[in-house]
Amino acid sequence: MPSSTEPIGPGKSQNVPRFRAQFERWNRKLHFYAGLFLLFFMWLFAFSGLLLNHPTWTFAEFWTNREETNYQRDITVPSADVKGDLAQAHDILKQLKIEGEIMWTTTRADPNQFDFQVRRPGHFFFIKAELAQKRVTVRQAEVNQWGVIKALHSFTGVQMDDPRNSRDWALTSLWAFSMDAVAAGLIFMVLSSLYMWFKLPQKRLPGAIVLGFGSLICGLFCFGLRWLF
Amino acid sequence: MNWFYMRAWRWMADATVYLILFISVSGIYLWYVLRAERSVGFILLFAGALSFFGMAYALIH
Repeated sequence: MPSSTEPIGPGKSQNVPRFRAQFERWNRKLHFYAGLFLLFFMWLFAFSGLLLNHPTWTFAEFWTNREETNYQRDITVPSADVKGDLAQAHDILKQLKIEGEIMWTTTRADPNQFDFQVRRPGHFFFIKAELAQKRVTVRQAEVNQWGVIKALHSFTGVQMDDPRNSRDWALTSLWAFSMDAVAAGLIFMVLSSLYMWFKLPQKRLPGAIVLGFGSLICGLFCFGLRWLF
Repeated sequence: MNWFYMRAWRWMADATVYLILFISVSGIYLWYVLRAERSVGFILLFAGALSFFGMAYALIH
């Protein structure tokens, strides 16, 4: 019985048009190549997904095991040229030598009080700037490797329900782009494997049953539950 | 978690992860037995590892 991993023999390739033979050859090759390139990304998202799906697993607890440090720094108040909260936050972070994604958690009521958070996987900075006193209080929290793994799964820099938070760190954009690339690569791998499966007549029926069953379950969760309840 | 469908979704998510881990390991085996694809495969595996660990390092440190 032929399998998708076996190269097409010379006898068989004579029976199919050259273009199709080349297409099948490259479809199989690119399936391997994409899978190998994306392997560590896939394992990260699979493993972190498992951790996120089991918040009660105590060994992967990170927030209660965090290490916190508090410190104060004198700063130069951002000049009048630095307009807007984001530019001012960048100015303060540059003085503090902190890098990361800026998160807005409070609305600025007092122009002399400026509070925001900075996050990157494994590191949380809670910043309270008192501009009139030219002083910044920083609460820094460091979490363990489980916290880093969980953060990498969902580190996008945006929140669906808060348009104020947008990507402002180049590395967040790079990571978000790589997640898009992983998703596109996985879609390609699924489509290429569907083609390889379909080219095996002996596997069509059992494959169609499994595919149908999987689609039914997925459809139930994605659409059916909303319709049923 | 007290709704049956929520528990079922959680179970499905776990099953998906275990299946992904299994098909990736079996995929590595199927690639490794193809001698002709080994060198290109190793280069891509290394390039992927470099991209992944490089980006993770830059984000964390």
